[in-house]
Amino acid sequence: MLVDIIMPKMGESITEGTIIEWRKKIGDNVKKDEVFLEIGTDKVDSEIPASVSGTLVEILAEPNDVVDVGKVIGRINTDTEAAIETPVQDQPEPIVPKEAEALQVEKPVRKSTAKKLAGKRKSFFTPVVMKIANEKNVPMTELDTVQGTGRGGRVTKKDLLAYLDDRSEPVTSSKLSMSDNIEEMEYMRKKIADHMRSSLDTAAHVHVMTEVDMTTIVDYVTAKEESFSSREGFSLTYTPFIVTAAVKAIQRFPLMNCSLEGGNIVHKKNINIGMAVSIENGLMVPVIEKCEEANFLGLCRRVRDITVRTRDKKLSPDELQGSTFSISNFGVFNVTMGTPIINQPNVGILGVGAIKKRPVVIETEAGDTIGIRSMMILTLGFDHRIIDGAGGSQFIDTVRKELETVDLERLF
Amino acid sequence: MARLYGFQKKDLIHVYENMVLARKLDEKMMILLRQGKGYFHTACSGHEAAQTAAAHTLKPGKDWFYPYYRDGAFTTGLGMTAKDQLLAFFAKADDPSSGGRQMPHHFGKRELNIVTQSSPTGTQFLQAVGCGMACKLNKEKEVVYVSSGEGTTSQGDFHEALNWASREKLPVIFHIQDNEYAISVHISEQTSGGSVFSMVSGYQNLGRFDVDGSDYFETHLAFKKAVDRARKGKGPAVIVSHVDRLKPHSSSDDHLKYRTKDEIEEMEKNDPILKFRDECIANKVIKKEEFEKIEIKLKDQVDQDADWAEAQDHPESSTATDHVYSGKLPDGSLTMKTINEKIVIVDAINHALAEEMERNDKMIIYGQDIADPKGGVFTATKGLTDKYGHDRVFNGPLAESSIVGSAIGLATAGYKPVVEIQFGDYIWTAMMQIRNELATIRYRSNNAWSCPAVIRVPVGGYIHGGLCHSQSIDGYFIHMPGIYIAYPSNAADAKGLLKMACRMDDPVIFMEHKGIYRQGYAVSPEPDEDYLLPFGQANLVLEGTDISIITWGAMVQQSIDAVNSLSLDDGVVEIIDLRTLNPLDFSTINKSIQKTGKALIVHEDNLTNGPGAEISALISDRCFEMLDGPIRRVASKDSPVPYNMYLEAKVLPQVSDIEEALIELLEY
Repeated sequence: MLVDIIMPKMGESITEGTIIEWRKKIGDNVKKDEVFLEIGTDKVDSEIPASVSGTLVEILAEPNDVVDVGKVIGRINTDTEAAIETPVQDQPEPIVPKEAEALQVEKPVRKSTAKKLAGKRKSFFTPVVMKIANEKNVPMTELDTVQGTGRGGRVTKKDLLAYLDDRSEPVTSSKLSMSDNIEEMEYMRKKIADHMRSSLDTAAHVHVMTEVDMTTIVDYVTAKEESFSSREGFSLTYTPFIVTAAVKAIQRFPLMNCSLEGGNIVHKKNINIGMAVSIENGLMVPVIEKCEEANFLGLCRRVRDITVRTRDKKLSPDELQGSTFSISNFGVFNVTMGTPIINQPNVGILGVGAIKKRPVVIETEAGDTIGIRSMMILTLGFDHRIIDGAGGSQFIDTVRKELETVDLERLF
Repeated sequence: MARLYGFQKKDLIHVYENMVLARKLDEKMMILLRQGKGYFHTACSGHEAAQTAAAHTLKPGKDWFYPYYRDGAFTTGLGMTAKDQLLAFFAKADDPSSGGRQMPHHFGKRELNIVTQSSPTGTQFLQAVGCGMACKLNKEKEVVYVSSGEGTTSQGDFHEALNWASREKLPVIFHIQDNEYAISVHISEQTSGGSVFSMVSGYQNLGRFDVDGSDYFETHLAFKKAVDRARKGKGPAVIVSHVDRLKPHSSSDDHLKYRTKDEIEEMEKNDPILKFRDECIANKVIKKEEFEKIEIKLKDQVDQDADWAEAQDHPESSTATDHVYSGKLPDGSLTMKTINEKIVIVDAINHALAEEMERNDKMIIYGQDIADPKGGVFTATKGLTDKYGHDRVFNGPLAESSIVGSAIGLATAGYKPVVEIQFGDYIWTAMMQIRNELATIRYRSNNAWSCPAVIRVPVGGYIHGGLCHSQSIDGYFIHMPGIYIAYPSNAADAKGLLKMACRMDDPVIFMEHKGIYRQGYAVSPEPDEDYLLPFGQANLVLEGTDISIITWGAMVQQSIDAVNSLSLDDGVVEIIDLRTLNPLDFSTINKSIQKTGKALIVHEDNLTNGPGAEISALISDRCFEMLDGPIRRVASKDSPVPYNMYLEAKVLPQVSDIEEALIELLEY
């Protein structure tokens, strides 16, 4: 059996010794109590007798090596028969330098305690962290981005407070003068603010634009406006045309009608279009459900109904939820182009610009000419996490095509 | 005029009326109970003569009384009215015994000096002894009456009480009402030799009387002799009066289960009321019709009183937890003038005791070995006997129940006993007195009685004490409402808190860690005699922002050591020294956790159900949203404390345990 040779303690205050000379070499026989090694300390040099009889099979410290008291410096095999066969190691085990050893002593304590407190890592927020996050309007999506210095990357109270300090708050840091007026955010404004912020933090927003020739539709609407409005009691607008085109495009590109939940893509069965409606002091996005089931007239009526009820504040809470795709028409404000923010949890939003008469190049068989056409710019904002450039581009081009080639005979 | 055994007719009528009143009350209460208007009744039927005789030899309002639950006729004999008893039966607000807080027949009436009685039979003896000690000090020839059935004489406290009373010649009359049955257990299964009278024959100075309790005159004679003797300072007496228990033990017992009908009928022939009446008639002192008139009058009175009592108000439910404590927590006096540069804890305690003895001549100190020349096994009380005399500073016998029980009696009678239990490991023999008496006297008497005694007790390990010289006892006692607890970590705190304890209106258990009695790190400058620390005010030993250590006693220094050995920066760790475990200064804890978000409770008592568990639950409840990490505890392992030093170090918390916990929490 292998017996360790230990660096002895040559005095009360002695903590290490130096190898001076091995009096035996590997493979030599040693008798119990026979001197086989000389070591030196601050106090005294000593000859060391073997504690057992056997063969010296390992030497782990060379002359002039300084070794801590208690460390193994060699091995004797007491099994004399096996002595010849015992292979000598080519590479002696290196003596770990002292500093590393000291670290090793500490580390096991820390490692074992780390296991004890193992639990959810980064995503675990303690009560005080959640409380502060709530008070300072830090949504979960933003909290997830805060760097954590706690065990396992946990976001500690200090981490969150430090993050909040760094986050720029232009309103609070600006100097107030006599004429400044402090107004606390209204509930709806706060909700809109949170939603916009959160949407930008969640989706990977990309915007693609296309020009749409709306001349045919414009002419049609102008021609039919009187008869429509006397029959329906409200005006025919461009909106139902756009909604129809969007629905058709979604049917061709159903990925635009999805939602990203965790790591899952949720394919929504119905096409529920959220219509952004501007109201006093804010904005609402009521939802027209199951647009795929409605015909053109149905859509005209539903768009009208939802717009009126939104402005009259007669919506039910259900009607503000459940959209799968949204449309935002800023063209009514004479804006030609915009980059709308996706209405979460949708992955796409169609921004509609104003229709303006423009000189455009018209290709004919006889050659190119310039003509006056009613042009409208559509912007598709989409979530690049799930929809790529190609998909987004194809989608918006489909919308364009649907609008430019709408079958006016088959509308009603 | 005609006399019977020296009694005039009016006296005899007085006797008869008391006996009949008690009997009518018994009958009425049993009827009411069977009507569902009450829940509990213990009858004195059969004991009336003995009890009336006893009452008529004593002075209500001057002597002191510790009756037991069957002393119905005794208490009315002293002056309690039918209304008093019925208010207790219905548990009404104005019940003088307890305001409805105790079952009926747990007598108490301040004006008559009837001390509030509790349910455990036998706990009253040592308190009566303590009261007897007060009477001896008062020097006003007062006498203490304490009673029980014969079964209770099997309790250890009975013998401890006889030993003490006899040794000190205290004026205590032990009335043992032997009706042969302790619920269903016959005296032959209870008492050596079947006779209490012979059993107590070994105590010197103890008068002994064995009488026919159904005979008013014989019992009266015995009491007269015993009381007289006691008033003259000749010592205590046991009077065994043989009576019949005509009714079962209580309304919950059916004695036909263990006694025959014939037996009971025989007993009824020996009814003391009939005996008394017949004797008076036979001696032509009173006519039969007069007796009959009294019966009718008293029955009517009891019926009316019962109707009246039933209509009285119940106590307000909002008062259900009133009077657990006195409600008076005195403010401290914190300006400290240093009278000594340095003092160790044990000497600070010694000086505190001396100063309070000087200030309050009703303060009494006793316990095992505390008198000079020994001055206590830790020298805490040295010099006090020499200074204040044996009347006020003396050795107690090796009996913890006696020490605490007598202290309760002394405190109830207006003295301030500051007694020592030599080691916390031995406080268990006094547990009945502490749990069911010391902690509850104020509450159960509806604030009529209190017992502000102080019990000093050395606790704690790290001294090679093994299982029974190292115990921590915190957890058990903070669980007990009614008793305040102090546990200082240094000399100045020990002095300020002990002086405060000696002035409080509530009982206090004062824990002293024996391992730091003389420790250098627990040394402080000595504050002057006006320095008083209020209970319920913790001390911030170190201020910090990252973690709160909540601790007390010997663990305060260990916590400081852990912080130092980890070489943590200043201002990281906050250490709170609670100083008192009840009341608990939660407001300081709350403020601290608001700042740090992390709590580490360090105590020497073992982990399970130690005070850390309670504090942890409070923090989790009240500071939930402030927490940035789990609440942790460092405590002794759940194991007895072994003697071998390596084994002890494994069980008791070490600085390294605190270090480990600190690192864990800081890094969380």
